[in-house]
Amino acid sequence: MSNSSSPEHEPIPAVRNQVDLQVGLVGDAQVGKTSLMVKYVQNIFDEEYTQTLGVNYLKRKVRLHSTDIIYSLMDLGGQREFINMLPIAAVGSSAIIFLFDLTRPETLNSIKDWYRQVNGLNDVAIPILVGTKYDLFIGLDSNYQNHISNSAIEYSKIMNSPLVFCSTAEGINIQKIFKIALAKIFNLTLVIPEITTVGDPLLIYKNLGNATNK
Amino acid sequence: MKFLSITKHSSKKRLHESQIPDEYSQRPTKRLSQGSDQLKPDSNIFTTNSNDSVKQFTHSPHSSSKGSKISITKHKNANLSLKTNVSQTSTVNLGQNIFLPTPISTPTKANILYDACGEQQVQFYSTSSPDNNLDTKKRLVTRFSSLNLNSLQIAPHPIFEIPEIVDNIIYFLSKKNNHSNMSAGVTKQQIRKVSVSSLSQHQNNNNITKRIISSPLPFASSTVSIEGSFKDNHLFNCLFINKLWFQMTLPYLLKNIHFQNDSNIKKFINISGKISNITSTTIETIKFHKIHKLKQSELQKFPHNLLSSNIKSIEFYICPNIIPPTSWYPILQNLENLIIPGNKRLNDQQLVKLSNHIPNLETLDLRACENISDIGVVSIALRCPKLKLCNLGRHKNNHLITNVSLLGLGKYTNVETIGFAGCNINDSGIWEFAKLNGANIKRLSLNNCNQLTDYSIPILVGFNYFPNLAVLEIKGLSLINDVRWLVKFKLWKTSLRSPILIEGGDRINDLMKEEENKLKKLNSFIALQELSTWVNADDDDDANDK
Repeated sequence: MSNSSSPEHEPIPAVRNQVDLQVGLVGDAQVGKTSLMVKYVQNIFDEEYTQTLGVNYLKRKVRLHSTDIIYSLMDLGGQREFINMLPIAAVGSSAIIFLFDLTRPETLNSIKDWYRQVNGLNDVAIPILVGTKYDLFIGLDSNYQNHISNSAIEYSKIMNSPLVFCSTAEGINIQKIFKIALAKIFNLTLVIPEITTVGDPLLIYKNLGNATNK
Repeated sequence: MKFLSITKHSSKKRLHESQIPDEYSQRPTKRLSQGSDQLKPDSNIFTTNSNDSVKQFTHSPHSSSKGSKISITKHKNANLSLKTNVSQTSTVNLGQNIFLPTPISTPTKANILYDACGEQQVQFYSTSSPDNNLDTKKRLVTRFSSLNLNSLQIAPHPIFEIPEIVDNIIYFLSKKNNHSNMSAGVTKQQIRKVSVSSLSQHQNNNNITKRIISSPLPFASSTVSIEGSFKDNHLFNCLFINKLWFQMTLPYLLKNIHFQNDSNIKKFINISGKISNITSTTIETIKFHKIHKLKQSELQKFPHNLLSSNIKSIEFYICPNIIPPTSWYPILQNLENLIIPGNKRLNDQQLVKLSNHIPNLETLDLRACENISDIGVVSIALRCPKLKLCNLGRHKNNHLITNVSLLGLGKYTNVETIGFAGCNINDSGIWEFAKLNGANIKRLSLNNCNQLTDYSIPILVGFNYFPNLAVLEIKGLSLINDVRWLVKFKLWKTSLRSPILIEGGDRINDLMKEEENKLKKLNSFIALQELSTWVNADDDDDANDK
């Protein structure tokens, strides 16, 4: 009867591979977690501060030849009152990004606490230590820069986590953070040159955060 | 015992039934006349005796419908007959004096009589849930004994007297029953609403109704068989509440009839005359389940007045010796489902004849009907353009169904489900069919079609000739070895979140599992390679690689 005229019969398309990973962002208030996330997903930087109430959630899809990478980013408000929502960001995440403000040493100090809390919920996620506001940091006293850089390196060794200094405003090392996360999760060979000179935007990852317990 | 006693009470009440609906139907009239005629003082109504008030209603311009007049006369007669007992008559007066002047005011409803009735009503409708506490029962018993015949005329809760509401209740009950009895291939039935006017036509048949109710046993046994088990069948219980409920329920019961043994059919044929006298409903779904002994000549006696063009579905499930009688053919123009699995009597000649009468057929199930061949199937395909499902699966006489049937269905119908299990079809038949009708196919059963090879189904599926396929049965196809396309199709469908089931029996399922693992490994390898390339690729942080 009314059979549709022969449609083109092509082989059915191959199924695309899909890689889903959840990444949690934690750290003190106003270190730039939401900014980093928005910058990475939407490439927008807004000077205005907006407090995160609870957890922000954004998704980014990276389309490769036959594979899709889907980053689900969970950004937890830095205020203490949201600590009870930490499981939303921490549980189920393959990588946790710990952020501190390079211009405020006390935020680096709180990383200990954040790390302890997260580790209690999820001890298999790859930790990544990220110092933010590098653009403001380079304007500060070089002794201060030395001190912070060296402390951060110490922290990263203890946490066994890659260390990245970044600037959301200037777009420095933003993509690298998430590529390192992916590489560490899947144990991929990464050959991006490290940056280890104090004063430069540090990028140290080779011997840190390699999955051993997975 | 409890049930019987209730039936007794309800049948007592039934004697006075005719008065009750009228009382309620009068109410709005009463209210209207009060509202429009303010001059008439209420006290007048209080002082009038019952007969006067009845007269007043009779002369009221609003109560001009024929039915109510008739029953009001009955009302009078009832009063007359009751006047032999003085105390009873006074009760009537009391009841009406309280009820009539202020029919909607709440204080009236709070009187003892009403309370008693309220509980009585609970007793009536909770027959299936015997969780009334003993105390209430005792109280009820005493109250019942104190009530005389007349007070019983005060109805249970009024909403159970409103035909539309009763109809709704029964409608939902029947839906529930239908749902639990639903079998494959039977589609949802559009249940026709019973109009109130058609009910009032049957008022004249009260006597017959009473006779059937008062001798419930023979009818009961046959009705039980009609619709499954007695215990679960609330619809059946509704027959015994009162006349109104009986009249409302019967059509629903009659619409879907299901016979499970021979004697029930004979009983049903015997009482069918009574049934057709009290209702004009005709059967929509008729089902015979494993009826072995019944002879075709006995089936010929099946009452024709219960059959009309309303019939939508006929099922003869494994009834080897009976087929739909020729005399039914002329009323089958609306038939949608014809389900006759496992019938050895049905042959091509009958099917060709039948095909002239069933233009709306959607489902045809002729599983294991060994005497059907290409001739019958093609005649169906030619004359039933709406056919959606056709099952011809079989174990014997495989050679009778060939590519000819397949192509007939493909060319003349938009069939969605075909069952050709064990039929004599081959690659070229399937290819042609896929070209003709592949786009409509949702379910395909080709079990034990041993001539099919790797060059038919796997390739057809791989090149998307069956874009809507959801179920594919290919058990026992010994010539199929290359399952790569099947696996790819399955993975592709899964990734689109459309349901897909490929049932290939042990051998093909194992092959597919193996192939799937291989494919997944390969894909993971490719994915990791791509990820590595990406993480090491140069990117400018300022320009997202979107």
